[in-house]
Amino acid sequence: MNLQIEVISVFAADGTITPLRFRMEDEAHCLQTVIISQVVCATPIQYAGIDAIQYLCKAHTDDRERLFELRFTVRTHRWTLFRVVY
Amino acid sequence: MERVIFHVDVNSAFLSWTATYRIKVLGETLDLREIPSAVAGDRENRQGVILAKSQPAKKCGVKTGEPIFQALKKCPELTIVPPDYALYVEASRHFTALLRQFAPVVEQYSIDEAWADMTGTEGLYGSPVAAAEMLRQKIYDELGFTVNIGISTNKLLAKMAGDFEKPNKVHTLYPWEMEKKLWPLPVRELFMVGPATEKKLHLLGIETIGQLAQADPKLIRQKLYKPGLALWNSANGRYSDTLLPVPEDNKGYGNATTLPADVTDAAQAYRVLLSLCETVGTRMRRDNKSARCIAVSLRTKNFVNFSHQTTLANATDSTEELFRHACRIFDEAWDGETPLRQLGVQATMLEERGLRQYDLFSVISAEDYERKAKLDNTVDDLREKYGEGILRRARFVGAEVVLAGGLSKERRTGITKPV
Repeated sequence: MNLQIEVISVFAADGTITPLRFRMEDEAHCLQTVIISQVVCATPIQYAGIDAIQYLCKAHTDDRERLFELRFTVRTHRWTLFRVVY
Repeated sequence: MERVIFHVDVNSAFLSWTATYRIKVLGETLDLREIPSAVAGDRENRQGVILAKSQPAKKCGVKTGEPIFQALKKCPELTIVPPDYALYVEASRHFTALLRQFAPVVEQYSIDEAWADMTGTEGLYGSPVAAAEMLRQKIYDELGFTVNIGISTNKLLAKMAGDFEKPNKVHTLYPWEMEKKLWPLPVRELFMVGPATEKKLHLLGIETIGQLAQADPKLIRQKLYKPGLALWNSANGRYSDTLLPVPEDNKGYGNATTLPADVTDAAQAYRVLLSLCETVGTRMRRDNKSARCIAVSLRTKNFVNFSHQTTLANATDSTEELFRHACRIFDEAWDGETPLRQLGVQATMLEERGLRQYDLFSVISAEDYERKAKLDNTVDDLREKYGEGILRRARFVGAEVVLAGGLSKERRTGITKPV
C-alpha cells in the first residue's frame, strides 16, 4: 500500500528511533490516528541501495490487534505505512 | 598458491534496480523482471535508446543500445520505464560496499560489475563455490537484486564465467575447464573482441574461441598485430592482471550528443562541435591533461557510424584549438549533405599538462596560446563557481545548449567523473 504517514516518534540519545503513534488518511479522507502498543522489531534494510528502517508495530484498532509494517527512509526522513500484515 | 578471483555482475542492472525499487520500496506487486520490459532514455529528445532489458524482452530480440522504436517493432507489448540515475548510484554504492565487506580486495569495473580477489578465504567461507553462493544470496537478501558470479584464477576467465548462463547463477571457469566451457563459444564472446575484430578473425577462418586459441600466434600477430596476440593469449586463458582497488586514470576524454533534430548544414554542426569541445576541454583541464589525438565521430540519420581522427604535433587542452581541429577533420569526414543525428568529439593520447613545445607553423601563436589558456581557466573557474550558464560564447546567444554532451545535471553522480 505504501502510504505516506505522519508519525510521532522518540529519538533516543543512542540514536534509536521508536515510533509511538501515526496518523493516516483513510478512504473517506478522514484522519485516523493509530497508537502503537508495541514495536515488535526494527531492522535496517537497504533494498535497491536505499537505506531505511523497517518497523513491525502492533496496535489496537477497531477492537482488534493489528500488525503494521512501517518504514522510515533515512535520506528523505519520510515515514510510510508499507503494508498491514494482519 | 592458486588465486581465486570472482567476477560479480548485476543482472541487467538498471532494470533490476528499478524493479527492486518498485517492489521492495514502493511495494508494487508487478515484477518488471518477469515481463518484457526495458529501461530507456528520453523519447522526446530522440535520445531514447534501450539501456537495459529484462530476460523476457531479451527473448524477443530486444538489444541494449538500440532505439526505442526498433525495440517496439520487435516486441510491441514492451513496458518502458524511465531511468533513475540517483537510484542506480545508491544501488551501486551499496553493492560495492557489500563486496568490500565480504572480500579482501575489490576492483570496481563499472557501475554494475566488480572483481574480487578471494584468495586465501577458504578458511573463512569454505570452497570458492560455497563462498560465491553465499555472496549471491547475501546480495539478494540485503539489496534485493540478483547477480551472476564467475569464479576462476584470473580476471579474464572470471569475467567470461560470469557471462555464461544468466540470471542469478554461479559459474566456474578454471583453466582446466576451458576446453569444455570456453572454447566452443563464438569468438565474439571473448572479452575485448568487438564487431571489427570479429570480422577480421572470420576472414582468417576463426569462428570459435578454441580456434583462436589453437591458431598460430605468428599468423595472428601478422594480421592483427599486438592486440591480436593479447587476444590469442586471452583465448588460452592467459591474462596478466592485478586487481586495482583504486581506479586508473582516464585514457581519453570524449563527449557525444544526439541532436533533437538532424543536422544538415556545416554551420550548425560547427556549433555542436564547439559545445562538445567546451565540455571535453573543461574535463581535461580539470584533470590536468592535454591530448594529442582528436577524433570526431558521426552518426547519420540511418544509424551509420563513422569517425575520423588526427594526431597533432603538440598536445593541447585549449577549447579553441580542439575546436579548430575538430572542424577540420569534420569537414574531411562529412560529405556536406547526409543528415547527422549524433556528433561526438574524443581526445586521446593524453599527456600531463605543463610543458609545451611551441612551433612555427601552429595556427595559434605562442603568445596567443598563453592568453587563451588563461581565458579557458578563467571561464572554467567562473562556471564552477556560478554555474554553467554564467558565460557563453556569442555564437551561442539564444541557444539552449552551450555545453553539450556529458551527463545532464541530474545524472551527474560521482560514479563517472563529472562533465
